[in-house]
Amino acid sequence: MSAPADGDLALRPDLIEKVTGRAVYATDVIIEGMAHGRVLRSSVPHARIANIDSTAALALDGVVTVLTGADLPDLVKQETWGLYFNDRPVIALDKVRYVGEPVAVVVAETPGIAEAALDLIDVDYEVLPFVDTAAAAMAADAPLIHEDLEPIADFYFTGQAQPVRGSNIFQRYSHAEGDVAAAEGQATHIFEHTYSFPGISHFALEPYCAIARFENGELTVWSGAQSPTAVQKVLSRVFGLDLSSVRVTVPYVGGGFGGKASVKIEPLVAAAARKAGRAVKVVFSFDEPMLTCRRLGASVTLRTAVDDDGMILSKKVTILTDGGAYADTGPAVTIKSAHRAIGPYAIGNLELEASAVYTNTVPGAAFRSIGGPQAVWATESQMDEIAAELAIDPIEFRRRNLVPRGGSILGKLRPLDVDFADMLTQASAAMEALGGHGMGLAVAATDPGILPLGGALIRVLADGSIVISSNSVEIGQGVRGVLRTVAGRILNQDPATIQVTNPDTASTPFDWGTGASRSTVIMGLAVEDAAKDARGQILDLAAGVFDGHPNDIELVPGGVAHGDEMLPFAELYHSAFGIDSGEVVGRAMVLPTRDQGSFKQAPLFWETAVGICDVELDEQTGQVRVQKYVGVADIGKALNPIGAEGQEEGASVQGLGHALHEQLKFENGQPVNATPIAYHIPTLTDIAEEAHTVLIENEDGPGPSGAKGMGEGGILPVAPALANALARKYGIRIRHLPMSAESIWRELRMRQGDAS
Amino acid sequence: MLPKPFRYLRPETLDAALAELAERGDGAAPYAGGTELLLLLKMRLTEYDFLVDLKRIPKLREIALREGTLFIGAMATHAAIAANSDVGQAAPALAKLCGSIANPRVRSSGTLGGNLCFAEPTADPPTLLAALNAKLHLVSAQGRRTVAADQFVTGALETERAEDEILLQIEIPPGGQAAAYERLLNGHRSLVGAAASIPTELNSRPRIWLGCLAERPVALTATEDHIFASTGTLDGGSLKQAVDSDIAKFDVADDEHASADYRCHVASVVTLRTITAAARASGRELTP
Repeated sequence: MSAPADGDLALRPDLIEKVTGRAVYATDVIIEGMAHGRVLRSSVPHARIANIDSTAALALDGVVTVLTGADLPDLVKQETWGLYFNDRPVIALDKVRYVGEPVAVVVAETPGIAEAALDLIDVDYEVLPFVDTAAAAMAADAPLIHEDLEPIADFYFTGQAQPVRGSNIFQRYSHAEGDVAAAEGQATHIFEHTYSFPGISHFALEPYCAIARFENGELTVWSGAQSPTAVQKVLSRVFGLDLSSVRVTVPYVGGGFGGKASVKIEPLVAAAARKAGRAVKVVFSFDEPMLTCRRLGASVTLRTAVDDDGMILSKKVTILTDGGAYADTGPAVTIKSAHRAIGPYAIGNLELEASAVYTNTVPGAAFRSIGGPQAVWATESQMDEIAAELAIDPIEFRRRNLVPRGGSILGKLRPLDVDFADMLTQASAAMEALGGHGMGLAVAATDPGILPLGGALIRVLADGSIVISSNSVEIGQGVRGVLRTVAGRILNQDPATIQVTNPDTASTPFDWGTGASRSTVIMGLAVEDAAKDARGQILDLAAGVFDGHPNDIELVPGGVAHGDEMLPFAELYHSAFGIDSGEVVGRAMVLPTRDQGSFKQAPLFWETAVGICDVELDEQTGQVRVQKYVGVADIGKALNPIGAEGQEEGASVQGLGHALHEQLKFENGQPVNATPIAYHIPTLTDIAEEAHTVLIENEDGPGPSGAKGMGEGGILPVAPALANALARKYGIRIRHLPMSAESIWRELRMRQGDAS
Repeated sequence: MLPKPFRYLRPETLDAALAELAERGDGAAPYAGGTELLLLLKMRLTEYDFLVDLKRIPKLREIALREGTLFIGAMATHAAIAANSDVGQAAPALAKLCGSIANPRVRSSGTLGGNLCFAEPTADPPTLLAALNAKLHLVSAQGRRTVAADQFVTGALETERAEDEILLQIEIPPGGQAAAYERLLNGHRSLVGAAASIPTELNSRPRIWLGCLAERPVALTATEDHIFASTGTLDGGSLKQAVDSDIAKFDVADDEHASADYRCHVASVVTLRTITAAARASGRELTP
């Protein structure tokens, strides 16, 4: 990655604010009179709550109140909430479903008092049988974790989940195209393999934090959330308030990776505030996020039929995901995992079946490329396994089967909008330029779940400064720099004069949320349209003032010009409005009806990735080191090239974590490594010795200047590319993540055993 | 989580610190870099009424080389030790290790003395200091005493140090140049770590110590005997047999980080690599 230049820092003033400590996160927000909450969590995986005794805690000096499930009838209109089912209580009601589930919130004058009071609460649990793996949850005699699931449709994602009554299955997705049985009949080879991917932690550096305040019948929440409007919607349902009476505002967010998408802790914090009768702030400690949500683990079985020419004739995908104790976005994750297991290959005959089950573990949730890493791990590992069996070069095997630009991966989805053959060529060339051998490669094509629904306002103020109101969350990805660039181009103003406000549902148009690689495209277009709207209004004003035609007037930095005559905005407004005040407000809303309804067709663009690497293995210890790594992404147009590179490389480093180290482990339902001390994510000493990113820019995306969304694809190819490199270079095949040094060593021993 | 409330004491002289510890008894703990202690307090795995911060006592940070013997103040940070030219000259393996412990933040606040007194079973320095035959100087209101580094750690999070004692300094005798330390990391902690000191004089016993196999560093005595008995070139094959026979003496159990057979295997690999490096440093030949 290149070093940032002054121009990049001008685009992203948050960088300086962050490294100097001035940036305000939710944890920095102080509301007058607020109290502090700490959460008591379940110590058992599955139990009825017989009794909660808070007497001693309430007697502690400085304790304001203790919230438990027994309080909910007096506090809320709706005791449970969710995105596909109302399966999650605001706080544990009659039972707990995983270790870490909130059972009480102590509200006290200081965080220290609240923490001390936690020890004084006695909870009587009547333990129930539990399941802590997806396989156990599927057993006929498995305990039911939820009963009577009522799907809610079109609440957060379009569609609804398909639970299987009387089981722990909360989503079953099936889709078939072509004729797999007939294709298998013609095939000369049928390969069937199972690959597994464990549940892993998001590990954002900023833990969850929210502040809630009820005042004059209105609820105000400050939260480090990725989806302010989803938080607003759920809070309005839970507390029976109008949307206009729920205000959610989001300062900077210190990373989320999907873990702060949809809704997480706000209903709990707001219930505590309502009980306390004053503003309450809850800041999680660093390990509590690891008990809040995680990526869904998955077992992926692929049955792939191939002919003698190395052409894939059919593919049958069977996936079981471990959804944890609450569904959250798991139903969508599970559908995506099925789609993302296909790969960018022209197969035609497909049978996809993906199910999600509840388990008594930390709830599953969205995580950078939902369902993607799980699926791509399987499908790209199997591609190399098949190529090896058929004695075809793995890149050549892929080339034979790639979907061409404009071809179809899945009939119901938009045709592919990238040239994978070119991406492969560029990947190999970049690896060669690094002087490396591309020993392992993987590709990925994913269909981002973008909801094309989001708006923005742009206000051109009298002094020429400009304010963008947008609910896109600045989560470290640099979205504000992109929005300033887009607006600056349309209005012909220096991006340095453009401010972007904090998301605030009280003042800012609806946006679905910050995730699914959507902000550059959806919010980018909204800002572009709003800027055009403002530009049109300004040119009309200027036409009146100059007594000319709008077409003869242009925007120039600081104002408007008509021929040689230039008017600063203040003078323009003075002439037009009679005083040198006022402003022009541009507005826009991106809707699914855009472009004659073509925005309704999913995906709006394909998010694609190629990763190629060379690895060095210490064969005595099983320790692997990535020597060189090249990532290729077709992103249409890089509106902030350094930011785009950073997103790709950050994603690939995150992928290295689940490839080699990460797994949230459970023993007897207890999380055993859910602390930042026991859980290892990649550090500077773990990353590739040399890495390079190729951004393909054909300006052919749906976003501003032809941009596509990005930021998630880079995580996808890492693990299978490493596994494929280990297979080619060292003759071992690993099918279960993470590829720990010990698991690699065991494979090496087996290989040696086979050879002798 | 937040630690239970404690009083923070910051004496500026050694005598004042010793007086605080003597007065407060087991309710007080010396506080060095805090990189391990504060984590335990925050996780509420331990609690103290008083923390006696030793960082304001200047002489505890001093590093000096006197007539070939190296003295490292217990409050010297890993970063300071790694950057110190006397350490680099007298005990290069220690300088190298201190420069690679954990991460830059831990190295700039964590101290060698704190590391030793905390006695985390996966810590690296206790193993290397055992092989270097270091001596640890302790002091309390009752007086001073010296404990051999290889006797100091007595178990997981347990040491010879009494509650009212302060570790003053670490003394490393001459001959520290011919030592090596190698480890295998599992995430950011060692899965095994091995230290070897092979004197250039053939009449001195080598010292081979292994960490992470047990709750405290252990001596590989058969390996030491084997090297001591070899007068010329060391034979890798028989050396491996000696190392493996040493490792086989320990009752290693599977744990969440590694299976026992893998841990023992990599312990052997890492030990042999360490001996190879130490032999090279002392000018001894070693055949594979």
